[in-house]
Amino acid sequence: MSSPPPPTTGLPGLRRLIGWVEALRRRESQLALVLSLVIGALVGLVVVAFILLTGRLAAGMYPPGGTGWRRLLVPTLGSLVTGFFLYRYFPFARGSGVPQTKTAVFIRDGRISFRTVVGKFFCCSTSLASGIALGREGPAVQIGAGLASVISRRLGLSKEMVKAMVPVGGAAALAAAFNTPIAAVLFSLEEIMGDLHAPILGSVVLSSATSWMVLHLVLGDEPLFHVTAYHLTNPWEFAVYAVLGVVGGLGAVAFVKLLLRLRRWFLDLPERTRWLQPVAGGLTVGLMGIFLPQVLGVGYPQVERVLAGDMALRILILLAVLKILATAVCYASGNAGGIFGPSLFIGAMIGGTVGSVAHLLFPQSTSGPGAYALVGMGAAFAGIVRTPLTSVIMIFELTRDYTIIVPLMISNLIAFFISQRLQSQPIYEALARQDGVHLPSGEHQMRRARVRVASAMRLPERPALSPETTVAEALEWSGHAALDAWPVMDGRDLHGMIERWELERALTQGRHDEPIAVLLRERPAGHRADAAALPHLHPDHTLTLALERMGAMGRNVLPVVSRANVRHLVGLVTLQDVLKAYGVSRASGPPARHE
Amino acid sequence: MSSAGAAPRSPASAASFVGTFALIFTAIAGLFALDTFLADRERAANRSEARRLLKEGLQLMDRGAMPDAVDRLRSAVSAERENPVYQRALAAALVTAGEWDDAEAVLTERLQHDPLDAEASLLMARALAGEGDTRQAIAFYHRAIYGQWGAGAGGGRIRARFELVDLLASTHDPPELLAELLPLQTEAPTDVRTRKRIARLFIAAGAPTRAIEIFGDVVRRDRHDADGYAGLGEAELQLGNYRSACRHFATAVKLGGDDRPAEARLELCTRVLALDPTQRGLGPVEQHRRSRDLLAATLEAFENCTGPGPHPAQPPLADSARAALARPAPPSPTAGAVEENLDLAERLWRLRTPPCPMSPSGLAADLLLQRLAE
Repeated sequence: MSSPPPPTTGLPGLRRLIGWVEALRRRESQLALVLSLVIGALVGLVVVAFILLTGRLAAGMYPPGGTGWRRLLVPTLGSLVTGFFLYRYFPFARGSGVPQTKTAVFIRDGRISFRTVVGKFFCCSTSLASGIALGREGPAVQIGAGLASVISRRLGLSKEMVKAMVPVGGAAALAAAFNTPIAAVLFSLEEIMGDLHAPILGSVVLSSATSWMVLHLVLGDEPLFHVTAYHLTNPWEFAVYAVLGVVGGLGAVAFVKLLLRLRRWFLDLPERTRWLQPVAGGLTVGLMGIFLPQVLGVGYPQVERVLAGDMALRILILLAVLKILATAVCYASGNAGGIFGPSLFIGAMIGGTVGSVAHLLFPQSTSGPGAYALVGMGAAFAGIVRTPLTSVIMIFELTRDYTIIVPLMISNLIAFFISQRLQSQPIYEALARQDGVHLPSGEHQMRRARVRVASAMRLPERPALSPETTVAEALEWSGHAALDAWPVMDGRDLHGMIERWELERALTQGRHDEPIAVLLRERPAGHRADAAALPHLHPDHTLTLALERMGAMGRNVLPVVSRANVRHLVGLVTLQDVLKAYGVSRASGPPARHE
Repeated sequence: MSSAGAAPRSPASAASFVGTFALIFTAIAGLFALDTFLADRERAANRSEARRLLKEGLQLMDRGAMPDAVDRLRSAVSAERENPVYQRALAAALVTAGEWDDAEAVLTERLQHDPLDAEASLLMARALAGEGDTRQAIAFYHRAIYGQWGAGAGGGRIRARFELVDLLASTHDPPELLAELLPLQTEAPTDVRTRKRIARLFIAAGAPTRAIEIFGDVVRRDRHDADGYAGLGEAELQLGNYRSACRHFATAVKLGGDDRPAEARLELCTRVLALDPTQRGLGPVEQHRRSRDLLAATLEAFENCTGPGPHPAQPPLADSARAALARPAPPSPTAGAVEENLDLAERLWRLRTPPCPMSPSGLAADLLLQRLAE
């Protein structure tokens, strides 16, 4: 009699499942896609819980008909309690969460601890509910990114993959926190990764969409702000939107500079006071809240009122100024919370102010202040966070109104430009620098990417070497040439590049009468004289690519050829040229590397 | 993910791998339950808060504290945005406060969601009428009349139609007004007050015969209804039956006691009667005297109406009128002289540019010439 079969053979479905799990476990790219969906769903639910819990806590702390003293006591106590917990147990959960996420991506191999996630969730929730004038989106990003990091590490993903999953979690969190899935994708790429063409795009889109669906499943199809339809009353209104861009940009710079200066001041205080510092923020916002309760908390109900055009001009001005002060003090003193939401609040107040004044002066030719408040939100965000594309798309997603796009773009770009001019470092980069961390900002990466080979290349020396030139003649010619390699020209066409060491080796072999064309023909397949196979650059290539190519080929000179005809030599670019273009000038460098 | 595949890694053990996923899915299920619970609590809290704010807002509205009422109702709408009751209450408060633009914005949102919401259409019509956009207001009154009403649909429709006819009466559009009044006459309740209101609107619509029918019925049922007699007088006055009109107005004054409007109408009616040269049984001298009085009253009204600047046709016509009045009355005037005065008066009357201030005699002349011109 044969022995009975193992139990698994009777369950082909289970066997298939085990096989699939095993395959998934071993194939990281497939696992990443599955994880994007899972992280999207999990982060979406966590962020929804974060928002709802904060709301419930706030309702408990501020019951209807509460006295003015409560508005002073609650944020003060809230900041005291959370300040202690942040200092004692969750030091990495302070502040916004966006620079911390970037630090994790670029410096800590995508590592964010579960303890930080828990700390961020509860400290932020308590802090925001108590009325601290900060936002929930930045913390949500860190919570989402942290969860993605924890899960990826637990599943034993490679460091590269863990790093890749961090922005995936961040995007999912932002999509749920702000109800803007496209802006969340852009923010992750533009701000966190600093690269709109990052290879994680697919995963980020998947997680953002999943998280957004979860949000809709639980909370329904409610936009964050309800905005009435926008109409351009008169083409001259674009001029007012330009003015709004200027005011928004200046307001953004004022806010960023104040926040950074205050934070520097708080950081310079003795370490032993660190746990108590957040109370300064709570006390400041509490004192303001006694007289103007609208300053407390994230302030989205007030934003909604401004968008509906339902706020007096003097209140708008007062709120814009006080919110700048309150947020700067709250953040700088080390409370947990972000600047994402306050940026929108400040922008709405600035926009409402500009719109109210314009409507007062030109009632027939301008829309109500609501439309300006909306555009102001985008302008302030573009000026403070410095992600203009995210800003435009985010406001578009918030309003679901296409007609707002043009004035939005005008104001945003003006605000962005002003902010760039008056504040050299973007805020998240500057905040990280204050902590001694030097992050690569998207802006710098893009600026660096804009430097092209055309701006650094030099024209080839004339007359050039020809294929018939002998080794001896070439060496004699090269004696007064400053480079280590030279183009060999066949008439007007590039034949190849000959290097000094090749000529010197031929000379030692006694081949001084041989034409250099022979040397080029003797090269191994990968280094043939054929111009098409020759390592080269085009004028529109970036200098980063030039450096990469020089490094890969071990050469310090590369020919620059036309895209239309690779045999047409346009110029030469050397390592010195590249360094000079980056502002690194030197009289003499280390000897060039030879193959 | 292209770069990741090549990176060295030590995958989690199968047990750990499955365990992690099991943990994640458990967390997802738990969080979903928690979120649903929290969301329900949030919605319940919002509903309760919205109800409280609505109650406060309506109380403030009743007290006439409109800014505070608007404030509360706005908060109520924010707390429970999709609730049409709150949206309509807010819109009503905004309309009452005269904040037409804001009311329109709220109602546009509501009507986008439910284009057949008759009550919202009625509020929108009020806002538009308040803003002076009569054409759009009429359109929204029609949407209100033919839209969907909740409880008390009939009352709402009639209210909307009454408001519409009031608007049409104020814009002096008799044909439109009459077109709306005819269905209203059959739909409206049959209490005396409503019937009298409709009858007066028939007068405004230029259908005095229908008004006489209603008022006649009213006074037949109640012989002491002064208002009914005044209405009858008004309708007869419009028909040119001045004698009957005066009789009804006199009855109204008698029954109404200190009824000043009826007294004023009686005085006007008496003046018209005294000015009318076309009444039967008048001798040529009396006819001529009345035609001169009519011409004098018309000239006075004309001068009041045309203002200080010279009218292109003023010198010859006014001069002719003045010359005719300056001539002594002939001892035995002919019919031609009477006709000449009436013709001059009518031509001058046609040149007036109303509205302009009128003396009681000018008003009487205006009324009389209106009938003579028909």
